[in-house]
Amino acid sequence: MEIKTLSVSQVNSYIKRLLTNDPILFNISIKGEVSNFKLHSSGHMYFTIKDDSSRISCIMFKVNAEKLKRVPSDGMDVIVKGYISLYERDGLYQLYVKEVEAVGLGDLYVKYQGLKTSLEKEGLFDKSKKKALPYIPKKIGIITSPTGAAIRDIISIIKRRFPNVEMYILPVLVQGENAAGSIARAIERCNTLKDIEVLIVGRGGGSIEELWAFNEEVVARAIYNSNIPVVSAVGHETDFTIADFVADVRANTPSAAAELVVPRLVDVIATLRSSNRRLLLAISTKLNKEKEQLNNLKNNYHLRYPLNYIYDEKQHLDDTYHKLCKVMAYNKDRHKEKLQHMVEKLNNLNPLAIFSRGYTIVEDKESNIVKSVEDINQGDLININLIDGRATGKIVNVIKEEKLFGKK
Amino acid sequence: MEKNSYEKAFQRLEEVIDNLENNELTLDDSLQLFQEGIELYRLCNGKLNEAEDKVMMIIEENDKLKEIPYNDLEG
Repeated sequence: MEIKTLSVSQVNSYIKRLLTNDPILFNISIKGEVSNFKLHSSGHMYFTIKDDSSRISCIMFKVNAEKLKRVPSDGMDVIVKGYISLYERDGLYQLYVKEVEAVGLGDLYVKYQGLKTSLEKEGLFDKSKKKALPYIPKKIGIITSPTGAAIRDIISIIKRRFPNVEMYILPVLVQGENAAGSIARAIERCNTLKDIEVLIVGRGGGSIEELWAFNEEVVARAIYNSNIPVVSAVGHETDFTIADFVADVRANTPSAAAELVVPRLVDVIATLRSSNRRLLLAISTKLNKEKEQLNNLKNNYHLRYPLNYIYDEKQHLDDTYHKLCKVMAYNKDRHKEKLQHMVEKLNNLNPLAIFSRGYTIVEDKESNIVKSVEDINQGDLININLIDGRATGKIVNVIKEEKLFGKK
Repeated sequence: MEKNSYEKAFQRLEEVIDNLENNELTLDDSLQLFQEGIELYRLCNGKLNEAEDKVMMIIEENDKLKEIPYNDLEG
């Protein structure tokens, strides 16, 4: 019997018809764990639900996704309702989800929460323990898979930003049973190498299972114990891995980590150049200021007319001299006046002055001044001195009386 | 090994400039600072040029670490 040959489209279309006409698949409710969850920018959600041995791809269109109270995340145990149909272009059957109902947290999620809580309590996430990244690291250690987009992105971005920097790649397993140990060892190893000043530890995005190594305690402790600052770069934008919490800096993606570890060389150079300009400007400003001051000094009155200073001083001296003379003259006059006054006073005290007031001095023959009647006797000759001459007289009579003054 | 020496040198350069710009310094001090600034600038510039451009992979071989040039293993 001859089989009719069909086109691929015809087959897919046929299968689709079978699936959508099936009474069970048309309206189905499935229990499983969410994994590989992605929210597309269109608003549609893509994820997988699985149990221990099997998985089904799911799509949830924006109209339905918007009604969700809680956005599913990897590791979540859910009951999803919808219908199964075929995505004809890829020949993939998938569950078109209308409703998602959470039934509990997945095993991995519980493990993750437990470790997170205990490490947080222990202080491994403390902000105070976070190390600052160097501005320009001498060498960069990159701990990731040596193949794949992550390492290529990291290298190309670092090279683009800062072309001459040394990168040391420590190839590790980033998923599977041995991944955590491999990553932890590489971190320890970097700490024994010279000049590595920053570490990028990470991988590209993946499901919670694929990223699991970054949720393991050995990795967390290795990051915490590293003396070199660590940037975690696990390509998973929505959820944090434990490594993200312990790392000194968390980057959303390996590319973002590359941007964090080095500045753009052009920016660095531009800043340095502008500093150099400022330096030159500062010193030339300073020099100009000094020159100006020097100029001002040159224009200084005293420096320009040095003799004027002397002239001024001379004038001042002259003025002072005149003042001195004036004071001197005044003093002289005053003394003269005083002297005059004294002379007059003296003059008044001159015994001879009494002549002018009509007194006379009487002397005996021996020219002794006669002061008392007892010095003379009747008939004695006496000399009478007057202001303008002398007369000789003879005592006619002596009468003794009480002394006029000056008791003995 | 002087850690972050570029950053330190650059910070000092900024300090030097701030001092030169803001402080009433003697001419001698200014010139000395300027000299220092120029040296720091040269140092920074040198550091930017001296760094090597290389990507190495460190692997373990017979318990010893070995450096080999990294080539994109997928390429």
